[in-house]
Amino acid sequence: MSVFDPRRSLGVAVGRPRRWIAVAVAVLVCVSAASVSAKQTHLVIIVGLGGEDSYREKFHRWASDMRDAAIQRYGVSEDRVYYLSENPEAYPGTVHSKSTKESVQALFTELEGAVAPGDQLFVLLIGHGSFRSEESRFNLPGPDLTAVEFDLMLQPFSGQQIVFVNASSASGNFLPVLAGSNRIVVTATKSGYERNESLFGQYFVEAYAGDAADTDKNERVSVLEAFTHARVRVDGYYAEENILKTEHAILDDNGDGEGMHELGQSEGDVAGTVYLHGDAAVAEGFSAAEVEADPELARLVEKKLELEGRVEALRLQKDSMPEDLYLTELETVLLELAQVTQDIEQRRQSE
Amino acid sequence: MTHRAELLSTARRDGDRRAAFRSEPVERRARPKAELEREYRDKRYALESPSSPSTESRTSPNPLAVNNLQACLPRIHLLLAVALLFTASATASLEDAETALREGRYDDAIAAFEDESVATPTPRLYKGWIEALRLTGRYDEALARVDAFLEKEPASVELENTRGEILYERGRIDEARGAFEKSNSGGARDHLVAELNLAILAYESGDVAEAMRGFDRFIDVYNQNSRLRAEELTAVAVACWYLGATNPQLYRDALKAFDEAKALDPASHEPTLLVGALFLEKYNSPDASSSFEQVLGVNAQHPEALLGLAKVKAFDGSPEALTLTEQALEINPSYVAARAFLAEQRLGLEEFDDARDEARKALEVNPVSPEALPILAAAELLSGDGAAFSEVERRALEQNPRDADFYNKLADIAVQNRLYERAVAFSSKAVELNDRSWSAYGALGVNQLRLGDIEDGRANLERSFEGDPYNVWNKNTLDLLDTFPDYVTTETERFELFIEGSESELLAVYFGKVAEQAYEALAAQYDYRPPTPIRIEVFPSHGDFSVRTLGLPGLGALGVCFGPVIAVDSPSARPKGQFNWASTLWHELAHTFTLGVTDHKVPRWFSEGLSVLEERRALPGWGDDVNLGFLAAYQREKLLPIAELNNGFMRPTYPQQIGISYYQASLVSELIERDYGFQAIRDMLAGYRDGFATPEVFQQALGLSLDAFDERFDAYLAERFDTVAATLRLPPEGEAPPTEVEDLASRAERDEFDFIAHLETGRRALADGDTDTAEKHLERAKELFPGYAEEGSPYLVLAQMHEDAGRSKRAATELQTFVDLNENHYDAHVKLSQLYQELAETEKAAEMLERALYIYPFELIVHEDLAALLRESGRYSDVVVERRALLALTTDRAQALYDLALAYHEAGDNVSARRELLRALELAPAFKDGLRLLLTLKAAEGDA
Repeated sequence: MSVFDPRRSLGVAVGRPRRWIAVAVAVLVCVSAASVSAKQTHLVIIVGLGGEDSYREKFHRWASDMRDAAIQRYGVSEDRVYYLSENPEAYPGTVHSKSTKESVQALFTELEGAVAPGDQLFVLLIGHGSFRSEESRFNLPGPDLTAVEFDLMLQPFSGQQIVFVNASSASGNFLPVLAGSNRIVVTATKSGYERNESLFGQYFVEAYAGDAADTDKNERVSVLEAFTHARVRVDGYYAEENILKTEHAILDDNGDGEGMHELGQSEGDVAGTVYLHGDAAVAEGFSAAEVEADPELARLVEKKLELEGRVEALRLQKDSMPEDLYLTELETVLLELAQVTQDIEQRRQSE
Repeated sequence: MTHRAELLSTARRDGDRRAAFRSEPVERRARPKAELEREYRDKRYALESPSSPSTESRTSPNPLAVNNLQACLPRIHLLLAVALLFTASATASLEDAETALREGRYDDAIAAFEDESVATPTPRLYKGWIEALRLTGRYDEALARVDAFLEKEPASVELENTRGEILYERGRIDEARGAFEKSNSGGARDHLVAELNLAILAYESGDVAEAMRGFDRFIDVYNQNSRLRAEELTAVAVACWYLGATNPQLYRDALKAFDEAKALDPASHEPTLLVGALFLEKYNSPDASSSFEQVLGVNAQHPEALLGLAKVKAFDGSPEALTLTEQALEINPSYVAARAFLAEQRLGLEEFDDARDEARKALEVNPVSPEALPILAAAELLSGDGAAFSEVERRALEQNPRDADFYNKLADIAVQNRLYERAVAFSSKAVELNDRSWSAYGALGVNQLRLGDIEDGRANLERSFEGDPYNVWNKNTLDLLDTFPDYVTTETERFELFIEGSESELLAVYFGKVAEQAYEALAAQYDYRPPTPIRIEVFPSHGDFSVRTLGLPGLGALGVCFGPVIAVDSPSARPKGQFNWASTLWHELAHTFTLGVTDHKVPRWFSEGLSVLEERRALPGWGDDVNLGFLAAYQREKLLPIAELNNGFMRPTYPQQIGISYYQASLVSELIERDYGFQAIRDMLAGYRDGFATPEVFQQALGLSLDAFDERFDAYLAERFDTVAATLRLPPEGEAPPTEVEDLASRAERDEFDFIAHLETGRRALADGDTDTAEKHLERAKELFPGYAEEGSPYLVLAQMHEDAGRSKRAATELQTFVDLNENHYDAHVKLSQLYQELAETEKAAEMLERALYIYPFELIVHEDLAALLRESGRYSDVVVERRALLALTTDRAQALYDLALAYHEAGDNVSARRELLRALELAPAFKDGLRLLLTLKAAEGDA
């Protein structure tokens, strides 16, 4: 038996509380895969006022890409994807309604009954923002919506995991207003004063639409991965063009309202465990129903998640372990994980 | 200390009449890099300097060393005394004589003084007369005039200080001391100047404590006397200057006193000359230049102003220094300081025999000159005559057992000649002799850094800067050292790679690979293995590289070699396509070999020529090739004979001469290798190592005199370049070539040998869509000058044309020729690789990308493509290199680690594969490809 039992070590690592949030989530995922699979993601995409055709087209493209990725890549049910646009007539069949203030508020009222406790509500704002009188706004056809008004709309969802991404310019002041428990808040800028056109939304959507952001190779993109991907791509754009960077995206996932651009120890742990659909089994190529119907498959999926959790726990012990021992332990767990993964693959191929 | 404070407070009370010292001490504090870079851009110290080993020779940090100043002080006071008299009443003819003296009409002045001496044989007249004789080097006549005055006025002590100063110029120190004492004790009008001169003599004889007490007394003189005359204020200023070594604030007081002296006697040149010298000593060349030019504006024949300006020019790296020095010597052929400076410049050009001759001439005038002795010593040392060096060293120390400046000058010259270990040894001696020789600590620190001794170097620089906060070199270098914690050291078999953290992971891979390859190749070539590890420092900011090399930004070079330490620009330091970092590294490493194998005695031109030759040998396209500038220089007979080739690097007289000299030097090496074999080059290097001069080395190794070799070289040039040079149809020098399309087209039509007309006509025809005409003229241009591979080369234009027409193979052929001539064109390499991929020539495609990475290794996609091509070619160990590079460039670390692991696996290294794979899976435990590979590795382990 290993001297470094990851489960035992979980309880004694009191020196790094923030990291334990992630571990706790991982453990939660691994011990309750079946129940997790029952939770649903509800995606709300709101495209605001474009102003010019070029922006309208661009914003719609981003929104469509996000919608398609959610449905096609991550298995989010189409009827739980809500797309509100400035011009719904132009995109029949995909747009839920016009993105006026009233429509948005009506949608959130409707969602109060549809989003069950434990579900995930993922809100993405694409468009232009403004910042006047110390108040950030998201520009909509007709009256705008302020950060405070969005906060009021989100109040009923205290039992759900909320991901709120404002990819508009001047969006930074949304973060301190919206930050809170069970909420991951991302804004494209660090304050309301960064008013130039923002590129963040394009790259944030790109993260979900492609494979490049999946840096941990689990075939899912966490909010943290999407954020990091977008931030790096934005940085790269400004560096390549040799122009001064006018946007600094920030993220808060611990509710303190202090968003961070370069993620460190105080942010990112929760965002690293939250995915667009929140259903691990789907990522293995099986639906939740298929897993529930096949006890051996359920055991393998659960085993796989458990082993992934052990790797994470072991990694947290790395600094306190002799390197050779660490590598040996790691390899042992990974070999077991490789075998389980292979078994799952074989099972899928035999379907 | 009290009286110093009083002097400073007096300066404040005077209400900042002028800023006491316009050259502010530089402040040391940790600053953001961006701020430093901004500062670098704003500085006025831009130096145009050639690359490599002895670039620093033209920027000796302290060309007007303290000993130069000391040597000129006594006579300066003499002139002050004269100048003071100008203001008193005088006869019209005496005034005429004095005006002639001030304006540099020395013969007129001497004749007028002589005429007037019959009527008014006053000390004032004789001092003017003597000064005119002194400035023109007629020292014996000057002493005779002193005697003539004493015959008339036997009891007078008024000319004793003047006599002492002339005797000092001739090196008759004891007699000079006696004269100063007589002036001082006799209460002569200029007795304070004599008192200062006595303190200077004490200083120069090694009795520093006594000298400092003497200088210190001048502060009391200043504070207790509000009615000092100009010459006395100047004496106070000079005393403060000496005392500045103990308290840098006193340099400001020196300037203040000089300013007061100038205000009292605007006609006198001397405070202005001294201010110029002080500014130059404190590294402020613009203000120094302004001071000397001010004097020259009144007296263009003033030898001291000419020499001062020459030193400013040398400080600025301008070739005018030599001309100005020669002008000073035309006016005063016995001017010891100028002669010594000329000798020093000869040393910088590695003309050791000439330098020795000049130094000896100076010592004939003054056998104990503290300016000339170190130059002679250096000439002996550099000529390999250790015994003669020791003898000169003995003479210098006999004169002044604590003469730190003797060793400071030797250290400077050692650096100019790339003898860094010697420089460290000399500076160490200097600080042993005088623990307040701040310049010695600075030089010691800088050269320790050049030899890779970072900690001791930093400590000595800190000490130097504490004592001399005006030294911008040391300040810049210390600021740079503050950034060193951001660097990462990577060790390879023979190298220590010191690279900035954000670039280290990527660049260490390639720099290590190229450096190791170069070491092996060069070791075989030169039959010599330099001691290892060799330290390679790579700077992402060109300003930092320049500071590392010279202490200042603005160096035009890409790399520099100190022997065991090489510093180079990172490929990120310049825009993509501006240089080839790998050929630069190869070039600098070749210097490590040629310097090492000759104990650092190889002449600059030969070392550079061999380095370029080695570049060419390493890879097609590397190393300088013939270009229009070289051919124009050749056709206009501007190439230098071997004996003068160093001047082309170190004293260029026209734009491009440095680059042309590199190429010419490489051709010399190439010819020697062609006609005599490489062993002849090894023999030549051995000859230099044994201390032989270039003519002897050529004679011994090649059996030819330099003149005979020059003839052979001329024939070689004619053989290679006469035909192509003739096609250039160069307009007369200074006349622009025609640019009108019609002119060019008609030229091309009537002259089938006009390269430029055919090239331009072809390019313009292509721009107009006339591809047939374009091809005809461009092909002709290629035939006429096949080596032309600059921007706009016919190869490039034709390649584009063929590619547009879908003729990939022909486009590839054109580009291949182009990149085999041009090492820097990144896009051409990448494009050629794409063409080869289209043509299914995988290995060639890979080779082009490998060569592109030697220009710019930061583009991820190029590494990706190259890794794929190498894999396709079965070059698995090279795939590993690319995968390691990608690890440094990508944000998708788990994928990059997996790819690296796979590359190791395919290269047969499963141990490394397992290590990298575990790193990948540690980050991404669900990574299916990685998990599969892990099972594969496990199975392979079981099979094994």
